[in-house]
Amino acid sequence: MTKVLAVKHLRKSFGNIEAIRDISIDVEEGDILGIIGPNGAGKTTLFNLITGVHPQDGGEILLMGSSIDGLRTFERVNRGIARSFQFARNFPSTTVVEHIRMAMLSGRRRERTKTHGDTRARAEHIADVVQLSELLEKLPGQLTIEELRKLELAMAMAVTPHILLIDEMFAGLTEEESGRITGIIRTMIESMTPSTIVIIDHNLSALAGIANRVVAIDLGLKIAEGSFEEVCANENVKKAYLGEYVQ
Amino acid sequence: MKRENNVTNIAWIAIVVLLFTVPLYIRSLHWLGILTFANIFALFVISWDISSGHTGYLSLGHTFFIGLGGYSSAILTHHLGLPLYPSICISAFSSMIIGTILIIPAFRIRGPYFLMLSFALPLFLTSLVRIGYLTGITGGHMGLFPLPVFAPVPERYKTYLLTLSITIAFSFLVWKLSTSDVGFVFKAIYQDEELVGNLGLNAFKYKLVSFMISNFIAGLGGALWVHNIGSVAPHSILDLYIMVEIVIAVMIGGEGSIIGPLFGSYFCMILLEVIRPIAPGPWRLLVFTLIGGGIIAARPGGFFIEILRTVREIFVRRMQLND
Repeated sequence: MTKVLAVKHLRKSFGNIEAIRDISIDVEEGDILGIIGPNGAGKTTLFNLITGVHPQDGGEILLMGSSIDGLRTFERVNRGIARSFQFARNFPSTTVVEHIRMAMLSGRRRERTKTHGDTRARAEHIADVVQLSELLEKLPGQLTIEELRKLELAMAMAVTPHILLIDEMFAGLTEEESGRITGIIRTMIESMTPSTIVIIDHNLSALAGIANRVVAIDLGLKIAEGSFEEVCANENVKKAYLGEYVQ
Repeated sequence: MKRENNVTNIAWIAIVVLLFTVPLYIRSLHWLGILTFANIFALFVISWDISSGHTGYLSLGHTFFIGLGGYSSAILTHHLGLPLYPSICISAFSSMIIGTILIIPAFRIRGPYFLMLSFALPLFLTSLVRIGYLTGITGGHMGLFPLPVFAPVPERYKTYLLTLSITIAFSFLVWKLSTSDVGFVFKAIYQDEELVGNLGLNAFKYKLVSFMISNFIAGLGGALWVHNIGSVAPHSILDLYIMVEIVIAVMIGGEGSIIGPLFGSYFCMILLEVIRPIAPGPWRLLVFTLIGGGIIAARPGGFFIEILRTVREIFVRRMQLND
């Protein structure tokens, strides 16, 4: 198995607050890794460090065996990291198909050697995979939360990454909507764009249906790792989520 | 769709033909002069729109780039005796290079901070041309004159046609850029620069391209301006009011659309002239600002771009009904 992402002894402080104290995580090709932890555990900060939003204070991040430390966000994306945000982000006066086409401007560089199809046709294919083909000319303001989440997945797919980092995609969605998003993520994995995913979420039931491995973090430290059942049964995880006095 | 595009193209060709035949039916040298100013002013306006109007880095320092082009060409022709057209080309490039180098550090900030920093640039150039030991080169407060002009006053139609050709050529190029993938990225930077980076696109590089093109066209416009009037002085090319007129023309036209601001620039130049008899002296600029501000307040999305879209929609609907 190829190691797609390796995070080694990562540390990050904001002033006196140690957001990430010492976290090491390996993600192999084909992994669907779930990351859980209570609010303030450092999950989103971990994503921000991996994508280069913030520089780390210590530790190392390797993508496909090469260090990406010091690279800016767009350079990391071009190396093969895509990301969705906790609060869906988009360009308010840009249509769905234009969002996808824009994401393809970076992804196309890698994609060019594989396909020579028309840009618009490929954008439409991606929209079809994420079930947005009926909404190509709509603006983000005309989309539902579920559709905005699908748009984020479409942009991530268009970048053709090695690994996709998904930050709380299921927040604010009903069970039915979460099910549809899970279905799309499965289709993405099957079509290998990307084949490796790391998902942060509080919706444990949605995570249980998709992740093959889970890491629990709290107060900037990794407190458990294993299958979904193993991590949920872990005493440290129970304490982190529910408090010290739970029997 | 193809037929609709053909109709749109025919409409544009008709407008261009109409503009080129203006000297045939407008014999007034005064109005030909005003329309020549409008051609050059349109270059100022589209150059501001492709940088600030597209990327959201709103600048009040555009007259700095215009002034760089104007003063460079004035100095090259007046002091070094360089021929008119090569000096205009050199000036456009100097505005692009010097202007871009100076604006790069400001890319680290945006919003009101960028606005304020950009505002300082023309003030800096105004001070520079007035510095004692430089007045021998720049002409100080009085400026430099006489400068070579494109054609004598009785042959003003030649200047009109020359500036019109340049304006149409650059408007077409800038419009093509605006509607290309690169233009999409410029507009995306306006909306969410961080997200642009998250799509693997180097926002800094795109901003640089946008300002280089903008500065080149502004410098070119500045050089054309000074050789149209035959002189250069701080009050004629670096004045804050030119900046206000540019912003009003862009906003009336429809920011980020190129075509709208193009219409806006001609509208503003003609409006300024039409109100001259009824609002003399300082009243003229006051009345112009009030009318411009009123149109912007009534149609914040751009008055002219809305008209153009409406006309196109009516045409398309009619064609569909005829089918």
